[in-house]
Parts: sequence; structure tokens; C-alpha cells
Amino acid sequence: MSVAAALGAGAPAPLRARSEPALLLASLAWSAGTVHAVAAVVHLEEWLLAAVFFAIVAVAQFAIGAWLWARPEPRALLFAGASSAALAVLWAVSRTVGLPFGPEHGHAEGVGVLDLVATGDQVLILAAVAALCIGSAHVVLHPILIRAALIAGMTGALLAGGHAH
Amino acid sequence: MRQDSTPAQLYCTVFGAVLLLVGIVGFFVNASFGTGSNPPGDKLILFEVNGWHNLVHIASGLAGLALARTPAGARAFALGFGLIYAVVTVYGLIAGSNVLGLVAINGADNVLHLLIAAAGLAAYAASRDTVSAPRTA
Repeated sequence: MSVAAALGAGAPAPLRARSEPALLLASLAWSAGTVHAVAAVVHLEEWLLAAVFFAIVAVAQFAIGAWLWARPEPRALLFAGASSAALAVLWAVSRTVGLPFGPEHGHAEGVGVLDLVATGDQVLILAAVAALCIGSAHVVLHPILIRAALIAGMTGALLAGGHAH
Repeated sequence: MRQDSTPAQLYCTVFGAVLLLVGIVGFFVNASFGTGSNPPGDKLILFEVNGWHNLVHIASGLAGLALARTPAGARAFALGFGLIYAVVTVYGLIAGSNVLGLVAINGADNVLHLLIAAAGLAAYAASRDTVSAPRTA
């Protein structure tokens, strides 16, 4: 039994390919990917493994965005939602109890604007996929809401970005 | 019935608004208009800015917002902007600390310029069908 079925919801309704809702959803993935690309550069000198991880995440999110826009089928939506949830959980662990490995293992990292922006994008993707499961996608994938989120996130990342450890 | 926005229109709206805001705030960080091989610049967190860089951001932002209104205008802006930033990225990688002796830059600037260029060219390419072909309901 799928998670969606266990929760009493259906599989996410597919979006129309290359439609505005698909573009908005894809843009959230591209926005998170952009933050992770910058994070990869920032981490190059302090922890190479983290830089590689962020680079892989960035490439994956750019690819997921392209997939969501070109073919927003249920499989793509579920993959986007699940990967976004996994990254959000990983971020929450690193900011609360700390990762069990790495140069700062066991220590919670500080919260920075850049990681808040990426996590916000990922939470919105997850919310949109969940909304598609219950037929309320228009609430999350509202053109003005997503535009405002993208502009606020990118502006915040540029003006108050930086990386907290 | 409202037509869907094209990728180029979304690109123009989002990048236009962001660049306009960053350009305005940038003047509170550094408003100097120095020139030379190493123009003065202050960090706007990760990115190096000065008065010239801020002016470029504001002009780019206003142009993006103005051209976002029509699919054709937005597509032209996405192509032009993408090409200009591609050149700026290559120039920045070669020159190192400035572009044309006016705009102070650093490594994070180069990454940002590269992503802006790639997004612009992708938005241009992805909007091809929606501009050339009439839409149906």
C-alpha cells in the first residue's frame, strides 16, 4: 500500500505538461538547486564531501525541475515530493541534533537564510504534491504565491544569505 | 480566460524583481563609482557590489519587469540577458576581480552570473513554441 493510499488520498493528479502550474512547481526545484549550487562553492574549502553532496543535489534538482515541467506525471511528482521531504528532514537534523558525521558531527549547525530558502522551496514542493493528492493544487500552486516565494527567496538569499556554522 | 505565463515571462518577472531589489539595497552597501583595474567593492554578503554593479542590476531589473508583459518581449529579454550574462561569466572567469574595470566581482558572482545566463537561455528555448504558435483554450 502506498503512503498516499494509507493516508486516504489518491496518487497525485498529473499536471498538464508545460503548463503554468508545472512551470511554477519546477521553478521551486530550480530555486532550491540554485541555492545548493552556491552552497557547493561555499563548502569547497571547508568540507569537500559536503561540496560534492551539494553539487549532486543541485544537479538532481535542476533535472527534477526539468522533469516536472516537461512531464509532470504522478511518478515525477512523487519523486519530487519524496526527495524534497528527505532533504528537509536532513536539514532539520543538521540544525537540531547535528549530523552523526563530518567536521561538526553531533553539533547543531546555525540556521542561515540560504538554507532556509532551499528548505522553504522543498516544503512548498512537498505541500504542492500533497495538495495534488487531495485535489487542491490551486491553493499551493497559485501564480502569485509561487512568484512571491521565488522573489522573496532569491532576494533574501542575495541580501541576507551567507552560511552559518 | 487567462493564458499561462511562458517560462520567459516567469524568468523576466522573478529575475527582474530580484535584480531591482538587490540593486536598490546595493546602494546602501556601496554607492562608489570607482574605475580601474581593481574598482572598489563591498560584499553584499556573498557577492561583491559597487555603484556601477548596482546600476546594472537596477536597469536589468526594470527592463525585465517591463518586457515580462508579453511572451515575445519576455523571450527577447531572456535571450539577450542570457547571452550578456554568458559573456560576463566568461569575462569574469578570465579577468578575475572585475568586468571592464567597472564592476567588481568574485567567485560567487561568477556562479550567479552563470546560473542567470543558463536560466535565461533555457527560458528562451522553452518558450519557443508558446510564442510562435497561437494558443488554444
